[in-house]
Amino acid sequence: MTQPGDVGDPASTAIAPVAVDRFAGGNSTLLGRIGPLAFCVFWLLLLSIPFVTRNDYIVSLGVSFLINLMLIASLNLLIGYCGQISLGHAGFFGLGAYTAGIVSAKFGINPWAGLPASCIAAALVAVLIGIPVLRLKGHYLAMATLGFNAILSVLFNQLVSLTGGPNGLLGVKPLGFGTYLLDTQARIFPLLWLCAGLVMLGLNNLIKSRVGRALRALAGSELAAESLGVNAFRYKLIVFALTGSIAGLAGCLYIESNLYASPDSFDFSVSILLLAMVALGGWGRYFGAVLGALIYTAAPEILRTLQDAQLLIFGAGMILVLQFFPRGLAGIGDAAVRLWRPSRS
Amino acid sequence: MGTSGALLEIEALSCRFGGLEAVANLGFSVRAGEIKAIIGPNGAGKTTLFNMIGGVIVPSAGRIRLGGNDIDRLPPYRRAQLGVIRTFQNLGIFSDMTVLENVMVGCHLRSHCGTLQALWRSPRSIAEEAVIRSKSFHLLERVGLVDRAQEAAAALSFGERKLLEMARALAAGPRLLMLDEPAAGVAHDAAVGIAAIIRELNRDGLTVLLVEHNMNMVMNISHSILVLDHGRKIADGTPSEVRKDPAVLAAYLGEGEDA
Amino acid sequence: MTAGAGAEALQLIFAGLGNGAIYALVAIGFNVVFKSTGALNFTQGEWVMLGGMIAAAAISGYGLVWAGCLIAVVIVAAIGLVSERLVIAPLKRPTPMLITLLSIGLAIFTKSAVMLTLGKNPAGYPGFSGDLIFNVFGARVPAQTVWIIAIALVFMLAAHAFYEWTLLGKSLRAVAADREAASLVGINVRQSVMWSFVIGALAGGIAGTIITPLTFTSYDQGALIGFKGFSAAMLGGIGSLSGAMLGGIVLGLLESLAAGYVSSHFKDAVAFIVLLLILFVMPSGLLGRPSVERA
Repeated sequence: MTQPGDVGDPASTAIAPVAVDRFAGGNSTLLGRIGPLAFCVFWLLLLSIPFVTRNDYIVSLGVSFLINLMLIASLNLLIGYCGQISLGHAGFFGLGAYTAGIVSAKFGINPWAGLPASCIAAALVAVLIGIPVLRLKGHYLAMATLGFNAILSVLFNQLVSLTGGPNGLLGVKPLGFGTYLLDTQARIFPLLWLCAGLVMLGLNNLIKSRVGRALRALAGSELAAESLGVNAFRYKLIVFALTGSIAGLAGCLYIESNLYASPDSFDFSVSILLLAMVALGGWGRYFGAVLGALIYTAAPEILRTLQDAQLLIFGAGMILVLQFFPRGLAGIGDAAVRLWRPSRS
Repeated sequence: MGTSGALLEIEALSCRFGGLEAVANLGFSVRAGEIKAIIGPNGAGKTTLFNMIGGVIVPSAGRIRLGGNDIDRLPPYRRAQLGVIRTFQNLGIFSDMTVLENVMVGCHLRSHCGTLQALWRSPRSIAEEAVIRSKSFHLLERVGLVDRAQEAAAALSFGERKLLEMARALAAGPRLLMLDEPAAGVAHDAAVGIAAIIRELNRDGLTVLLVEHNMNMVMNISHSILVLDHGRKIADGTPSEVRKDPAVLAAYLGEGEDA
Repeated sequence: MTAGAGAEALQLIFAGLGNGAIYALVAIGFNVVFKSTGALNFTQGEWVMLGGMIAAAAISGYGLVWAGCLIAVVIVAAIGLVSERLVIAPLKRPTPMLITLLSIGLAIFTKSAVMLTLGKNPAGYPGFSGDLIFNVFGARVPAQTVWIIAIALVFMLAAHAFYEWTLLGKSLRAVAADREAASLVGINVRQSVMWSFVIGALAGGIAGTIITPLTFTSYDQGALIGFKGFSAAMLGGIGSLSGAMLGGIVLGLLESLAAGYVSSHFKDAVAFIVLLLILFVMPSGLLGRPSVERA
C-alpha cells in the first residue's frame, strides 16, 4: 500500500514536527476560534426549542430551519466548494420526500425504511445524471438538473395514483418507537436536530479533509488540480451523489414532519431560491449555509408586513450583499478579519 | 525501465491546430536522473509540448512513453499518478486557498483516505492529515516559504508563487518534474535561488524537464538541452554542444547571446 | 382522416417553429452574455417577460401595437445597460460564478419590480396583423407566428452581420475567444461585458414583445422561458449563433409535437428527456465544437 514518497514514509517527516509546532492551532483568526464554539452553543440551544415552548408556530419554524439547513448546506458543498451549479436541488428534495411518503402511505412499509430509501433513491438518480454529464466541462450539470427538476415536477403532478397529484400526498405514516409516535413537529424535532447535526458535522469534516481540499482545488483550477492527480470526474460525482442524498434525507424528514407533501414545494423555482440562499448566506463558507437557512426561514415571517415588496427587498439585498461581500454574508467575517489583521505583503 | 535508462521517450510527436503545425515530428528522450531543458524562441512549441506530455492536449500523431509504457492515451490525472507532475507558465496556484493548503493538495496523490473516512473523521484520516501537514511544512521550509504558510496564496509575490508551485509539485512525489518557465518574471536573486533548488532536487535523484528563457540558468544547471524552432527540433545535446551548434546560433542565440 | 392528420401535424409544426424562434432569440441572449462573462445569466428570461409587460402597458396607453413594441424593446435594452452598469460593472473581481449568482438577485429584483409597478394580471395585446389567421393546407396558422419567425430570422442575420462586419462586433468576438489576449491588444473587456448585456436584453425584449400576442405574459413567466432558452443554447452548442437557432427550433418542435402526440400534461417532461438524451449522445451540442478548458 505504502509507496516510496508516500506521506506515510517516515523519512519524509523527520524534520517536520518542529515546523508544525510553530503554527499549532492552524486557524488562528479570532473568528476561527470563536465561530465553532458559538455554533456549538447555538446548536445545543436549538434542541431546547420543543421542550421550553408549547408554541407550535415556533416549533414549526425550528423544523423548517433544520430542513432548510440540510438543503442549503448540501447545495453549498456542490456550488461553493466544488464550483458546480445545480438547478435541481428541490428535485432531489422532492424525490426523497415522495420516496419516503410513498413507501409508508402506498406500500404500507414501516416508515423508518423511508430514511435509507430516500437517501439511496436520490443518490442513485444523482449518479445516473452525473455519469454522462460530469465528464463534460461547462454548464451541463445546470442544464441536466434543470431538466431533471422539470421532469420530476411533471411526474409528481401527473402520477396521481402514486403521488396524489396536485392535491398532494396524504396518509403518510409517522415515524415512531413502538407506541410512541413522532406524530407532531415537537416530537419529531429531536430526530431532525440529530440528523441535521450529523450532516453539518460530516460536511465540516469533509471540507477540512484531503477530499475537501481536492474539491476546492478543482473549483479553483480544474487543470491544475488534475495535474496533481485529482480525478475531477470521480470527485464531482461523489459530491453530487452526496449532495443529492442529503437533499433526499431532508425530503424524507420534511414529509415525516408534515405528514403531507405537494408538488409545488419541489418546483424548480424552489431550486432557484435555494441557490439564492447559498449565495446570500455565503457560498464556499461553512457558516454561510447557517445564515442562508436562517434567512430562508425567517425572512418571509419578518417581511410579512411588506407583502408584495418582500421579493423586491430580498433581490436588492442580495445584489448589495454580493457586491460588497462577494462571498455572501459569511464573507463579512473575512472582510472583518482583513481589517483586523492587514495583510503584510 | 525503458531502453538505455530513458525515463521519458518521445517519438514522432506532432500537434496541429487547424493548419498550424505547433509541434512537428518531434523525437527526444529524457534520461532518468538528468536535468533537461527545452529552449526556443516564442511560438517554438515548448508549452504545447508540455501540454501534450501532461495530457492537456491530445497529440495529432506520435507516442509518449514513461519508463517504457505508453502514456499518450491517459488523462492528466492518470499521468500524474504515474509520476508526471508539472507546473504552469501562467501560475496554476489555487488562489482561494492558503499557501499551506496549496501544498497539501499536492500531497493528494501520496495519501489515501476517501470520502467516507473523511465524513466521520476516522482515526486513520486524522493520522494521515497530520502527516500531510508536516510533510507540507517540510516542503515549504525547503523552498523558503514556511513563514507564509497560513497566508492566502493570493498574497504571495510572483516569484514566491513560482516557489509555491514547485513545492506543491514536489509534494505529489514526481518521477518526472516538469517546470514551465520556473524563473520567468522573477528577480535575479530569486532566479539564482530557484536554480539552486532545482539542482539540489536533481542531486537527490529527481529527473527534471524544464522550459526556460533564462539562458544563464539553462546553461548552468542542465545536463542536456533540446532546442526547438517552429515546432521542430534543431538541436539536442549538452550545453557546450548546443552553444556551438550553427543552426542554434542562427535561429536563436545569434541575436544576442548572454550566456 | 389522413388530410386531417396532415393538417394537424402541420399546425403543430408551425406552432413549434414559432416557439422555437422565441427560444432561439433567448438562446442568443444567453450565448452573448455567456461568451463575454463565462456566466449563466438568470436575468435573460426576465427580459423576455419585461418586453411583453412593457409593450402591453404602452399599447394600452397609446394604442399603437408597433410603436408600443418598439418602445418596449428600447426600454428593455436600456434596462439591460443599467443593470450591467449598476450590478456587474462595480465588481472588483467579476468571476463567472459571482456574476451568475448576482444575476439570480437581479432576476428576483426585476421580477418583483414588474409585479409592483405593472401588476400581477396577465397582459396581452393583438398581433401585428390583428387576429389574422392563415389557412395553410388546412392548418390554422396565426399571422403572428409568421411575424415571429420572420423577425427572429432578421435578428439572427443582423446579429451575424454585426459580429462579422462591425468593429464593436469583432472586438466582442475577440473577447469571447480569449479575454486576456483581447485585453492585451487594447480591447476594453469591461465595456464588452456592457454591450453583451445590451444585446442580451435586446434579444430578450424582442422575443417578449413578439410572443406576447400569442401566449399572454405575466410577471412570473420570465424564469420558465429563460430556462427554455438556456436549454436551447446548450442543445445548439453554447457559443454559436446558428447553433442557438437550431437548438431553439428543435426544442420548440419537440415540445409542440410532444404536446400534440403524447400528452399535453407530459409535454415538458418529454421535451426535456429527449433534450437530455441528445446531449448525452452529442455532448457538445448539435453544432458546437468540443473545447479545451484553459488553466
